[in-house]
Amino acid sequence: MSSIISMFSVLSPMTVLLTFAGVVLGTVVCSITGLTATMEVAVLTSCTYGTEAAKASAMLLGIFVCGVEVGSISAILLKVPGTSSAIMTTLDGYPMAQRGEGGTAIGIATISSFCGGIISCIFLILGCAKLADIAAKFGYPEYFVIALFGLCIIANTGGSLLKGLLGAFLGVFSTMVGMDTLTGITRFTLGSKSLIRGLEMVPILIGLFGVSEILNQLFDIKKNNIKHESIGKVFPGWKLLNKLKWTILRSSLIGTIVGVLPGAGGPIAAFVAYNTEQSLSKEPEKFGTGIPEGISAPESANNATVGGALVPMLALGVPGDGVTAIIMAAFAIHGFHLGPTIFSESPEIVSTVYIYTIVANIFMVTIGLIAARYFARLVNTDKTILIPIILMACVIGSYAASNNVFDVYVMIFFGVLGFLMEKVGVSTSAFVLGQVLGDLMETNFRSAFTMSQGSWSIFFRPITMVFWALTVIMVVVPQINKIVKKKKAKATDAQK
Amino acid sequence: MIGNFILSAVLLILSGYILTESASFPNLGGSTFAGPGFFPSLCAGFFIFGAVVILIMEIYRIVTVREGDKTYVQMEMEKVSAVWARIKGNVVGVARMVALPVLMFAYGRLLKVWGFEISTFLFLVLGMLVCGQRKIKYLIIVPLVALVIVYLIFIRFLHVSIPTMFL
Repeated sequence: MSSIISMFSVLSPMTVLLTFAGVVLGTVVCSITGLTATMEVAVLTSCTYGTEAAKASAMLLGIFVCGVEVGSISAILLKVPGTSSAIMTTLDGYPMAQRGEGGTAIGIATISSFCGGIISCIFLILGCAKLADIAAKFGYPEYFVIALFGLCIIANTGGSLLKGLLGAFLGVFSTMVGMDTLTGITRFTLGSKSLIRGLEMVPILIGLFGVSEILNQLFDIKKNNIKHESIGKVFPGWKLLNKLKWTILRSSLIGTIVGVLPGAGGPIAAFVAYNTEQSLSKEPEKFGTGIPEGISAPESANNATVGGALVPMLALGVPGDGVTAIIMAAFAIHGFHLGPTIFSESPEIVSTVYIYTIVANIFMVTIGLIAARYFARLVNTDKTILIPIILMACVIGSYAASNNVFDVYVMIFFGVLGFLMEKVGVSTSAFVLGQVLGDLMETNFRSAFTMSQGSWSIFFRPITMVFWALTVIMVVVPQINKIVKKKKAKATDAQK
Repeated sequence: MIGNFILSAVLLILSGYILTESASFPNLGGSTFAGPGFFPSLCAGFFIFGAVVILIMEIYRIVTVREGDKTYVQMEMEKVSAVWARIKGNVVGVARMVALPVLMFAYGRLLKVWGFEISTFLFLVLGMLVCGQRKIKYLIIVPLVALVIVYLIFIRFLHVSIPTMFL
């Protein structure tokens, strides 16, 4: 208890102000499609040379916390996820916005994100060292099976499991274009020099979700130019929040655990949380039509991964994701090398990270709720003006990803591909998760297989068996339930 | 039905390409068990499986599904006719769907040639015209405001090196 109280000693007015600045910057910049928290943190790291480590990390944490949450704004209003963590939020957030409840949807997302962030911080403060021990036991086979588990989960959220898996594995295949990580051989480049470096994720994300949705709207722009009478209230109300409390708690736990695993971040947590809530729901068919649970689950989970991602960063010196990699670099600049000894040698660094993550979450929910009404008004903008601006942002965002015009062409290609995929029922969400997990899957699979000298038994170790079992439970069982329900419905119709 | 047949065909062609390419990858020492072509081949195998299952399911539906007097093929062809009629009735919409990606391609291409200022302004003006915007004040003010905002955020604040001509 005394160690928890002593953590608050790192609070100082200047550092709190810098955290606030980070949150504001994160909200403004990361809400623009194509601009990610990773990019913003990388740029601002150079500005922290002259400041102390605590102040620098506080500001960067502010951007990190906000950067994950704010991706939901464009996901809800424009069906363009600002980050890959917000993909699942589009499924229910966008339909809600179309009904004129964009403000409420953003309010649900913001409050769920806040709860997820705070819950993950509490768990981590209380159990960080124990969680790091579990994560340290994960090896190549475990990471492969976790990635496969994530793919199967997302594939099952659509109408057809087979088409979902096909979408996911198409995404996995897209990561094999370019130079092979393990051998350096170039693969599937079609003789193009631009493809040697592979396909960047940001242009694919923008294309699959942003451009493909715009193409849908362009067909009948007048029909889609419906003015909504009001945005609706932003604060969802205590009654609704009370109804969502178990969703938020479960999803936050999922996000915390997923976030602890290096490389497994917001997208997996959001997919698992969404699918879990859908499985547990009495009305699973309502998911995807614009229900609060469909927003609350992924948003709680993806923000809970922020706290989770900080665990391997602090305890193992291994970044949980791209942003934590840059935050680690910022610590290194100031002479702090993260790893197992950080808890004994520099406990004030650990305290700083946790306290200012909590502070950032508090600022995030305040600014998010205040600014939600202004962001929600975007829905009412004339589509003949909004669509070209969105496409301009898509082009600039794709170009900015790596200062390469080729990425703009990739974005356009995947925009058209995404449009066609939706028409034949192949899930673009599954494709993107395949893209996110593909490299992790292949590298870990090949490393594990080589380590075992060709023996498949390495993929059936104790921890992997847990994830195989979870995969079966969460994929096969819902399919069986669907078949049973259909048979019951047929029997009921026959009796009538 | 047609969408599923096209999907199966695309998957089979893609699998053929993947397997052909993978067979040509060298299997370097130390990676004999899972070389660079192993995982792509696994993916290709799954695509072939998926394509075959989809084909079998469609053939099964063609053979067994009936609704009154109509066969599955007839019902699907009616759907295709309805979609085709919608497309023929909204040629302008289809033209928009083609024109904007072409404009985006040109925009990307001209970013380095004409600079961000001119290419962004032209893209927004042409884009709004394609979308049906005809008010001159919006056609001038919106691109100018967007230019300033993008310049301030991307170029000045985030130091993204977008090629500029004047600014």
